[in-house]
Amino acid sequence: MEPEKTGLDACVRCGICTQACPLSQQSQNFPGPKLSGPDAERFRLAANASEPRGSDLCFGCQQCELSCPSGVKVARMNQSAKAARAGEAGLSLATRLMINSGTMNQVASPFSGIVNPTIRNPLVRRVMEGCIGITARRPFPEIHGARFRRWAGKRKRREGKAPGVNRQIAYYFGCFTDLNAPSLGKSAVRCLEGLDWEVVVPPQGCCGIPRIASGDMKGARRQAKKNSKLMGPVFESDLPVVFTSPSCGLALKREYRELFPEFAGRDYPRPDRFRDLFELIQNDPDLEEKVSRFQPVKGRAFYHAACHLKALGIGFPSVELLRRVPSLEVIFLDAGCCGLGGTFGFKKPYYSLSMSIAEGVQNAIRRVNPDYVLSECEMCRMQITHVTGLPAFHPLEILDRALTGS
Amino acid sequence: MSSYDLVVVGGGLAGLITALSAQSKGMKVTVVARGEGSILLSSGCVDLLGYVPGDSLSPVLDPLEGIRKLALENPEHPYVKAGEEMIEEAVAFLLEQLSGAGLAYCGDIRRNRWIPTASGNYRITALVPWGMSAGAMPHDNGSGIPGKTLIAGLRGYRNFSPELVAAGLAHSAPGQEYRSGWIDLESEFHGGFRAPVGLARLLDRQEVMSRFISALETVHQGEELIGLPAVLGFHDPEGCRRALEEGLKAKVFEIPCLPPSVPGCRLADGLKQRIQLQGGYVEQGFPVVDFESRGNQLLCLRTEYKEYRAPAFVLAMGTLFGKGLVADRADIKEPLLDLPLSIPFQQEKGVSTCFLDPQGHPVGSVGVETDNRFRPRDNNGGRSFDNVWITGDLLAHHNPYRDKSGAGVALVSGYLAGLSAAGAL
Repeated sequence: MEPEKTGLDACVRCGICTQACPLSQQSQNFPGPKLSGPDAERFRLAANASEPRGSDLCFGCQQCELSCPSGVKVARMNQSAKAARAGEAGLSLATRLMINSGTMNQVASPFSGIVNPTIRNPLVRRVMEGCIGITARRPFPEIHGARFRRWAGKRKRREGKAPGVNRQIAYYFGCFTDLNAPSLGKSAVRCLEGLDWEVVVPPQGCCGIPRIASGDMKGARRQAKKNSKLMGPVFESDLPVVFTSPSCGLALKREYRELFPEFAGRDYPRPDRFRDLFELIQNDPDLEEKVSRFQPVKGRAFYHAACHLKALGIGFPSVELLRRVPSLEVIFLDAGCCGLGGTFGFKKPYYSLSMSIAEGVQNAIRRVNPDYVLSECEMCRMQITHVTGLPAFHPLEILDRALTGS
Repeated sequence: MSSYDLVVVGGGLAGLITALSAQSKGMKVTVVARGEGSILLSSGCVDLLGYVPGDSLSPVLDPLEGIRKLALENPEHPYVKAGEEMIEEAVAFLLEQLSGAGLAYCGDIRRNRWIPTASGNYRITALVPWGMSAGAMPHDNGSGIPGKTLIAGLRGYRNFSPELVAAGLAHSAPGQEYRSGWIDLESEFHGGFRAPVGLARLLDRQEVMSRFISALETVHQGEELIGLPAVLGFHDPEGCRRALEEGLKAKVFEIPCLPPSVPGCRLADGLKQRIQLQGGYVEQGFPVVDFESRGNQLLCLRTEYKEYRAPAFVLAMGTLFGKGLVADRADIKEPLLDLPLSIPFQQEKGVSTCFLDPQGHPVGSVGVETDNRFRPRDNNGGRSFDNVWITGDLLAHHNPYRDKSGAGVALVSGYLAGLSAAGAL
């Protein structure tokens, strides 16, 4: 029997994954990626095995798999463990609500004028904490009435320059941009058009990553299938699909193919069709000419590498590009996970733990003393602002300033 | 396209030192690694040369002297190719980098030290974190740590048995007094799964450290020296040790434990941070799987999701663990560029039947043949590539496991290769 290269047989039990795990560093209740993953695997191979207690704490940061020197798919095993436990024990009310936040936000969006002050109200938050289990100690992101999706549908598309050369891309904006930060989406379109791309904003749905991360595989499959169907025409074309949220990118580029081969199979776009915005720009054959357009942006920025960005395997294209903006100082220190873990840090029992995990990043930021923090991930931005009080921006917002001079 | 002056493959000590060395000459560097490097599996100490191969294991007291002896027997050894001056420069460079990373190390190229480990035995090494140095045994009289010593374990931290350590050290150095005890810190430490780095990060907190000191006071019976598992703080180990020494009025030393080790983690983290603060990158998680070349020029390397083009490349992936070499029963190969290897044994004789064979296992000496600047040689004595360097364990003609020289060879070859790639040699 050929030893399996990425599973149980490849693991040498070095424990490096456990050392890298943000939960294993701060909690004594999580068995750790090695125990929940390869160690428990031999029990899973026997029928009727139950998952180790506490294995459902994993929030899918993937740092275990990125740190494994032996190529074991530790994160994938932990994800399966979590999904199995979700199947056995069900999901908490808080989780079920938050993985439906996309839908809830869509419903709330027309009423944002009432909803926003309501969800800011401390009394309302305390009741939510007591009844639902969502912590009152961190703010919710604002909901916008004027969704990005609507703006994208109404906008006049700017044709890409250099006719004859294919400069068309499809923009996958993600739920957060659509409902919580539409100006970010507009900024992305502006940057891409400013760099001579023609931006198509196709029909699309939620990528499903909150469900994937929570272990609700049935729901995730449903959402992923729906999104794939909406994106069908784009997938069948040869348009690059450009994303600005690393978690969305990870879902489209990798998770669909590996988790849902029944509809994301042979005909599904290859990974290199899915591009982070900065990755796209860095690979522009006329990059030097584009960089020459940059105007100075004065500031001292700390760049935080989101876990899911690292999991994309594309390096740090936004840092490389922004370091070419005149007058801008970009300091990059990889200080680990910010601790929010998607919906993890919003849950009452895990709030303190998510804040403990943040200490590493907090210390690094304090050392550097920046004007603001940059990160592609909306969750990291929320957490870092909550922890440090500093403003946090998507790197594309700085790129926008460099291109428009504002 | 991302533009780098140098791409280093491999995130262990060799890879990180190569990056730092090249950066010191102004190169823009990225380190691409399939995962964490083996520094995490080390004790955090830097071995230069522990044993000179022979019929029995004779420890080296003076690494530089040992290297000179080595040169007579093995002129192809990486230390010999580098030369004494380069070795001394590399050690000084490392100490400077470590100091810049807030990691205080001590030691010198003329004197090895024996430091106690969690197995109850001593290990021979050259450069040691300050936090371990009070436990170092003077090498020349085997008389053990002078003074009475308490070895204290931490309830809830299963990988450290103070009884084992105390008994082992007493056996190695009879006549010295070793006592063992346990510290009970309740709640945070009890019955949990927390990783050792997590324990260290807990002890970074002043409030937890105060309770730790109080708990240790109840066990301490006035011994001059206290040995503790190496989990004393992650961001500020020196601060933790000073607080302990002030609180207990005794000298405190850390004892390295099972991997992944906290001192190893501090070392890896410190070096990576320096690379990043100097504008370089460390990209972990994806192995290099493909390449493109033209004649003697390596043009690019590819992982599953990214292409790396640069004028120069360094391979520092180590050997079997890091998959810089792959082996089956019949064959050993360098899997990426298929570089010619030195394989000093016949088929199936790579491993000795005696596990702790003083001659070592011949497979440990397998590596890529290189010239004196560590550029890979082809089968005709010329160069396979003009713009590629090999560093660390992947080099031929040295056996790091037998000689206890792994870190030293990584350091020296990495330092030299970085300078050579920068055109500074």
